[in-house]
Amino acid sequence: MNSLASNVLRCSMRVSLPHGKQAVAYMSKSITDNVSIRKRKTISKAMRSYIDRVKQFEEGTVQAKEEYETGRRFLANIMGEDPATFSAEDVNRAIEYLLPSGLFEKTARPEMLPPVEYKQSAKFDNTGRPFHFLFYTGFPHTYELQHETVKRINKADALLDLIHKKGHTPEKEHQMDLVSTEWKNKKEIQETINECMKDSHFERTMETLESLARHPMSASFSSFLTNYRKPVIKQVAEMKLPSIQLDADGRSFVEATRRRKHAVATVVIRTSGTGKITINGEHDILYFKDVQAREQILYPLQFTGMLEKVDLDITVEGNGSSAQAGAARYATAVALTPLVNEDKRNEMQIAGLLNYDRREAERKKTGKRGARRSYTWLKR
Amino acid sequence: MAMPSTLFSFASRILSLRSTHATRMIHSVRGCFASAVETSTAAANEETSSFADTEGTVLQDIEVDDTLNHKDFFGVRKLCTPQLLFEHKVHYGHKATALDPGMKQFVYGIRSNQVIFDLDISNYHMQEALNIAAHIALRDGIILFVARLPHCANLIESTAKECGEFAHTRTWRMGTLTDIKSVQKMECRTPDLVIFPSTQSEFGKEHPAVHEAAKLNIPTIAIVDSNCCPDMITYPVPGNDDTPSAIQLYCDLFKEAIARGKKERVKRVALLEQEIATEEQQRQSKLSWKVVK
Repeated sequence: MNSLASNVLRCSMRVSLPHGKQAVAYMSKSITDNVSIRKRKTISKAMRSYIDRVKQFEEGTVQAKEEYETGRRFLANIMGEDPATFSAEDVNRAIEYLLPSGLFEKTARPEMLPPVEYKQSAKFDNTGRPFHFLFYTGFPHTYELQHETVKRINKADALLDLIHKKGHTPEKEHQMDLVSTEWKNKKEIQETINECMKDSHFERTMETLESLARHPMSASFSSFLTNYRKPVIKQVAEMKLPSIQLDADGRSFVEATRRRKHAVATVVIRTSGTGKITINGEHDILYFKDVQAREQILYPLQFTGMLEKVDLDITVEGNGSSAQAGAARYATAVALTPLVNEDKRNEMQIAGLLNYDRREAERKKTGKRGARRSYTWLKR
Repeated sequence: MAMPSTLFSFASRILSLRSTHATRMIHSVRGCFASAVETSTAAANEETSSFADTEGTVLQDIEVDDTLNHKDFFGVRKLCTPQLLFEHKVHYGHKATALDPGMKQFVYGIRSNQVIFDLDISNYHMQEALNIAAHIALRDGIILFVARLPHCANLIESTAKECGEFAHTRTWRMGTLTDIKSVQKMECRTPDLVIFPSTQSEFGKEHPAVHEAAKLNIPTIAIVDSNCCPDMITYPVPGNDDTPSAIQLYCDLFKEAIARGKKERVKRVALLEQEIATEEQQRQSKLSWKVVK
């Protein structure tokens, strides 16, 4: 308080505090003089507690660092090495050597790690006023994302209204292209907004974002939406295609060997044929007794439109008919790839023709007749 | 009947809240000395604590008590008129069967089973509320907008963001105010004023924040509709709390009031800084004079 203060004092009040200390409050008389009276600005209890916590944590970190340093030098001396060049890796090696452990679980073995540094930034200023306008909700960044999205949906609605008022309909360019990108998963979204999310909050947020992305006017907000989307990884990687060769007659052919279960099939496809199929040198398609197996072999030809255009020469052995048919189908599909264009190849990939079928017979278990089947119950 | 002392003090607090006029007096006076109390508490704390970084600096704050001598220091009372309230459909209440007994004093009449508010009364209460909001903004108080209105949530949050204050229009976790330390997992400052554009929660019950604010003696401004109870509210404003146009009006009015309070604060802080600078200059010149001597 300065000397001017005494002139403008109108009344003073005594307030007793829980500490037993007393405070005096003043009320000023006029506006013109008010600025002359000053109060001491205080740091809020919340900020004080935060500063305290940070200080405590820093002290703890310093102590932990000192302890680690002592231990490191001590280990270096025991191992007879130079403490100045003794690194964290050397520490681990020394501990493994000095304290050998027969425990299999790695986390149960003795270890000595350098202290991790961690600092949480303050969420409010010196007067205790939080920085974020949704601080009191407890999930400020999640709710802010929802808030921002809804705000943009409202804007998009207004834009749509404008277009409708003019008597037009929204065109395709007004909507954002959603094919080349997809939504980020929960973990990535959490990293983007820098906050942990509950499952329910995540679902709600994604629903809101989805409704903005599907809006006919979403193109105006693509820069906002791309923060929460990622490019689609192309499924079809660079395929290794079997090469087209020429035989003695001058006909080009492709050869491929593939397997399914324990059956192995080698297929030779000859171009400019009539659709002749030879299996193991002497049989035709009737080599397979059941219709399903025959269909399996014809399916890749039908899919690519190569029926009656190429000749097939299949050599197959091992396992039963369905496994042999599966192996033959896979080999046929692979042998067809160099004979068709890129788009058709992608379609074949999506249809699952070029994927290895990893299913195999389940092993037999002891005490069971097969993999699962029990022995017949005999009454004793 | 014997009453535990703590319970008695709590009950008396609530009772004092109920009598709105008395509470208003308390809060207007509280504004004057709360700051002084804070100062002395901080001084007491400073003696015990040992912060190297905060000990040396003496921060200054503005003195604002003179503003209480004026009836309408910020001119916010002129913002609100019965005509304006009527245009924004504030006079519509709920069905007469749902009328809360506490709201009878604010009712003008009932027309085709619909409660109609007396807008002269509503206007008076709204002006009072705007005035107190501006005063609290001037004193750098934290103002929290709380409502559970899904169709107006975005509007209310935007309002809070635009006037640099806070909003909570989502699921209310129990103890958000009363048990703030464990809910936020740290020591936090509670709001100094809570504004309810609607006191109803999503299930047609009273919003839990009303009770939490009452328990902590945090002043509250609330728009109370004819089916809501005004007892726990410090500054109730009778009016329609469902119509978007009415909510828009409330948001605009409070935004303007808070903006005026903050503008005054900025002005005073600038003056204070200027004064401190000139004082410092004088001190420096005196020192240099001494050195020359």
